[in-house]
Amino acid sequence: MKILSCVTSYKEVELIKNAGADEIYFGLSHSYLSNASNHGNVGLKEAKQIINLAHNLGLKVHLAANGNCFNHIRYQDSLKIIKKMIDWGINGVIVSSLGLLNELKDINITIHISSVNPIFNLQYLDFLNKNFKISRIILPNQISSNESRNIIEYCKKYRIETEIFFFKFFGCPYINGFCYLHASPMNCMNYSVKTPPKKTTTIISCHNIPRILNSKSFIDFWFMGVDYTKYGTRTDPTHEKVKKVKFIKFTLKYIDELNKRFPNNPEKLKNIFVSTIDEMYGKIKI
Amino acid sequence: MKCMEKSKFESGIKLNFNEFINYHKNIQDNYKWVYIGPEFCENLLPLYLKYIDIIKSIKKNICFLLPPFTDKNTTVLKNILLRIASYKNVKEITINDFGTFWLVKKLRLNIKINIGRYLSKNFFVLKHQISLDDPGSILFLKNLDIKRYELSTTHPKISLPSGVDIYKAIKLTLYTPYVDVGITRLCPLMVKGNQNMNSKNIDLSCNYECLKHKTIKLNKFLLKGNVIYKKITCIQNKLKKLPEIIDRIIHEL
Repeated sequence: MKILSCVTSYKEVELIKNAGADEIYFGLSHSYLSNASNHGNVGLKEAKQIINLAHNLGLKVHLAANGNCFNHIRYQDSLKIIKKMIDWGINGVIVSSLGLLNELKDINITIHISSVNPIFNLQYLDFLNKNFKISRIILPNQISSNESRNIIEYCKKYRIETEIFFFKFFGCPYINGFCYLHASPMNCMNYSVKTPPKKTTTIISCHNIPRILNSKSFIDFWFMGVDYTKYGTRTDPTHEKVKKVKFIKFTLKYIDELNKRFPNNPEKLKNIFVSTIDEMYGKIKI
Repeated sequence: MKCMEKSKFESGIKLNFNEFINYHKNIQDNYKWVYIGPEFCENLLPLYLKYIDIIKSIKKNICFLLPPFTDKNTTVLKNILLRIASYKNVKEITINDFGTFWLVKKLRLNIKINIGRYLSKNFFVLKHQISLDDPGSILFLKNLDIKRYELSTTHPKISLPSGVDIYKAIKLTLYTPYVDVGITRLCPLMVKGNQNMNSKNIDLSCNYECLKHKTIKLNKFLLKGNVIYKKITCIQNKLKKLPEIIDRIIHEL
């Protein structure tokens, strides 16, 4: 399993590489491509610098174009920007919009399907694979490892890479991209939703509903051969990003070591991993 | 933008599961459409399949609502699609997963497909008004003969980019008064009913707790099964004049 990490500045590229990332991605500010806010995205000039540096360091670099908020004019601008990135050597584009997928299918670029357009079943995956040119899918964190089994097998058959979020740093139970509890559109409405009182948030908040993506499902995904794990909190400061990527690297090495100790006993490996990994974050010196 | 007088749009009512299986003619007399189905939760699909024949007795236009789903319910979904496609009163289905669209195509079913409230968030942004912001996807879906999108909103005002003809080819269905705010797969009621469930040992089994419990009110939010809603009552005053693109209103009790 390899590590994909977000970056939000040129200065972070080498730090994230040294922390253990195998690939990086970024979003563009002042465009309508990215699903994230402008905080945590880069300008065009810096994007070119990031692409060049990443390649010099042996890193693949991808563009997060997984927003879907462009009107007609923005749409044409967005396509021009993507084509510019491709000319500059971007390795892949992370996409959620079907329209954008359709535009890019005749262009020579690898496409990753964002979790913002979540794939919960084989039928949708087959639809995407038969109608577009996809190279990787990012599984939503609201699908369990058991439920993903057919999807992962299909991906192996058709040589589509698979990616999951790292369980420790991402895992809202509300389906990504379709939630107004946290997203700004709801707060911008005329009849705005005020922040619920504490009692309400206790019942409906992320903290009260168990996460489907947790250490147990993560180790299951590892055994199922998922190709990449992703760290994507672009709003984290640089030192936090480095710390978290290092921990992800440590976790993967830890699994490898457990696998060497218990090569024929996956259940024992899983139990040890699940019972130890959560407490290691922040305590292990990496 | 052109506005329509209130009488020129179609109206309908959405029935929850209990209302569906205890179908009474009186409820639907004022409405042209009856919307039925597990719109947001796949766990209810087997129950709907069990009682699906009730639909045949409803003398109204039916739109069947379908949720996002995982592979464990593909066969159930397939069976539902095959049954409802044969019912003359089922005029449309509303999908919240493009996997359903692909199944319909593979089964070669001739049925009109709408995009549901969950999936419509891919194409619309609710920011002071409904904003249609993904023309490429709208065009792509129009070429697949998908032309109706369903929404809940706090305000029926629409923003359309000028000079884009594609939007003239689509229609919107508006639900009132509940806006779907967030959807989970692990339903809070299911979690509450499974005392041994924890974050390390999640069992996604469901005992239909949502059918046994009434809607839970949380300040101005409502929890119905796996969906958090907000009730927006002031929109009722805005229904008198609607943009022409909205031509159907669905009422939820």
